[in-house]
Amino acid sequence: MGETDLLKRLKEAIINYDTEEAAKVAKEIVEKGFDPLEAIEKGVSEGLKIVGEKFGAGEIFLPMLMMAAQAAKEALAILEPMLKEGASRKTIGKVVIGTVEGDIHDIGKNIVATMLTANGFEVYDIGVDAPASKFVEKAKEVNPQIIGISALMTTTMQKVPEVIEALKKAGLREKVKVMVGGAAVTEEWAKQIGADGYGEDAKAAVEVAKKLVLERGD
Amino acid sequence: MEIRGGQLKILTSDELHEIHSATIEILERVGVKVLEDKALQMLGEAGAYINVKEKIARIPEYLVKEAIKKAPCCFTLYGRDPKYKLRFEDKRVYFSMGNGAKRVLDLETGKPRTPTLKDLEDFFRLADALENIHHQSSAAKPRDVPDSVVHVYQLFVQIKNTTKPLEGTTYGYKRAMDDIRMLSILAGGEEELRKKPMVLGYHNPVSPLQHSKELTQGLMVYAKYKQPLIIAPEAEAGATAPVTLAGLLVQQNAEILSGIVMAELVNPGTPVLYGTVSTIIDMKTGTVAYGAIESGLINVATAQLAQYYGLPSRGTGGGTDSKIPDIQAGFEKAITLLMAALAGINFIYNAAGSLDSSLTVSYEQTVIDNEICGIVSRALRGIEINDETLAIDIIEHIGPGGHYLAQQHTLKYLTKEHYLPKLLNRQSWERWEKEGSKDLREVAREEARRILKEHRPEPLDRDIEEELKKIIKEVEKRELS
Repeated sequence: MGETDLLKRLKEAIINYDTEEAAKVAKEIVEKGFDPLEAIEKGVSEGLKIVGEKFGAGEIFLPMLMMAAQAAKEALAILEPMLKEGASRKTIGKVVIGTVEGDIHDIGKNIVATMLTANGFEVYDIGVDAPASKFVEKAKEVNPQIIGISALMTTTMQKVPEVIEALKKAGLREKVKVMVGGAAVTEEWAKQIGADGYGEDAKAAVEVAKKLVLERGD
Repeated sequence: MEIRGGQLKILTSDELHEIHSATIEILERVGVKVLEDKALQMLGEAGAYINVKEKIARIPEYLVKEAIKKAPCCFTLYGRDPKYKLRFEDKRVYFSMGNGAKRVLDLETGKPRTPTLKDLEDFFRLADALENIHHQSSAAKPRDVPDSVVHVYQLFVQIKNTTKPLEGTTYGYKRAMDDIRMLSILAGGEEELRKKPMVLGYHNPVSPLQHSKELTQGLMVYAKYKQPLIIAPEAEAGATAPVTLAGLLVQQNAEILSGIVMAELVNPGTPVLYGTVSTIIDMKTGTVAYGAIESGLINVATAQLAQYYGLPSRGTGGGTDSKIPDIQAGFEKAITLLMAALAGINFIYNAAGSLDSSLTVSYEQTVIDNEICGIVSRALRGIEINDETLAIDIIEHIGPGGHYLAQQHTLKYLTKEHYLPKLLNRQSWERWEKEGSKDLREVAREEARRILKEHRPEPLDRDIEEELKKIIKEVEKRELS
């Protein structure tokens, strides 16, 4: 099968949220020696973009989006290691996201992470119950444009300013944009604690993230 | 007037048994994650198979059976006023307020704003006057009080502004103990408090299959002091639970039963309520759908499961995803409330005041919900059939072509047989227009204003108030200095 066909198949696999097919095609692409960067951009990213648009338009539902992101993840796991030294895929930006210390709620964060991925971001999820130091460590490692902090309850919300403080102490605060989220969070509170952005639901979070990256100008 | 549900059932007893079986499989093979080490250890010592590294407890059926045997079928919750007793038993139904909103709709402008401690006081006072709201709860989270001390302020303000039974904090040892200390003063001593519990505590497992550290600590404190515990997950079908409602019920059951096992191990005989806050997730937006019909179904099944185990139940009814008191709010609240009540959920939470999937609270909605609770109460009382109500004598007496409006019989039974609404519009068009063409929200607003202006709850004993204030000062010193 020719390169164009394979790329098309990869894109289709993502659009049809077919994890097995996506992995299969990705492997074929690698075996045939085709350009992994092309495959990522024309196959995976394009496919995700369409899925993201369909979801935004209300044509497909959340599980389809999540499964498409899963398919993309599988394909990327096969294609990314094959990228030439120094080459990296185009993404809108890198995001480090996690739930604060003392809080094990993550479904909201997971939905946001997936939507960000589907919208072209590269997301590093540090999981739940994450102390401020973990946010800082990951930020130092991957140099994200955005740090997303999730806290569901009013009690654990108190940890969010601690993360921001830790970023300041590590000299990273100026380098990143901080977004906060969680059911008990409000726009007002986000402003109060010095966050750069807040989205009340996952779709809004994606819009805000896109805006923040544009603001940065890089 | 007591009201009892149980008229509505959607699962057969075979199906209930299937759910129980499936739950035991999950508890024994998969287990639950318990993040409070003391509790995990306790489970291990009692006979559960624990994996300390993964913090997993796999719980054999016999532990579940023992716990259910120890948990009381019924218990009484007391208000500050000793004649105010809620008896949680069988299918008796009570309604409560909404809780923890982050937005309040201003009574005058209708616009959303940040809640304050004054709002909290006003909501308690409002609900104190509403006859169909039996239990109080902190309608909103006041943002003008530091988080580390808000729990003692919330409890104090509850105690001061209502004589109805209360809600306490279970987030961590410290806060739970602060509550117990305050309540002991109110009850007249720790022993008194144990004998006559005045507060419900909340333990919400984190779906799927997890018990968080802080809430498990709170559970252990409340169990130690024999204060009743609501064990209620908020599983979201398709996200944190299987998309199938049956699968959700199984997972939820495992979460609840493991919580009950812990409570009864801490203190056998601790009153627990088998509860749910579960619903579906809206797959278009990724948000929780409190007003969904599926919530109604889940609550009915939960009531049946609680009855299957012989335990009191807590459910969620009267929720809506609408942001304002509008038509969507009206029917979502009415349907979910009616379903939970007809099923016989003993304690229906979130019933009054909440909007926006419980994130927003409204004064006029609280008043409207009081009316809905009244209507639902009437539905629960059904139709009384006896010689007097069959009315053979009166029918004979009036005969063909007469009327009943001026009969003693009519007078005698009117208020029992007919629900007399306070707010609903049943006037003629002309009269309605003459009186300003008001819609229900406006009428409710006026009523809320009137109650807030006029209603004075029973004053709190001066000495008790002073003692409670001392504790607040101590907690502030501890947390804020």
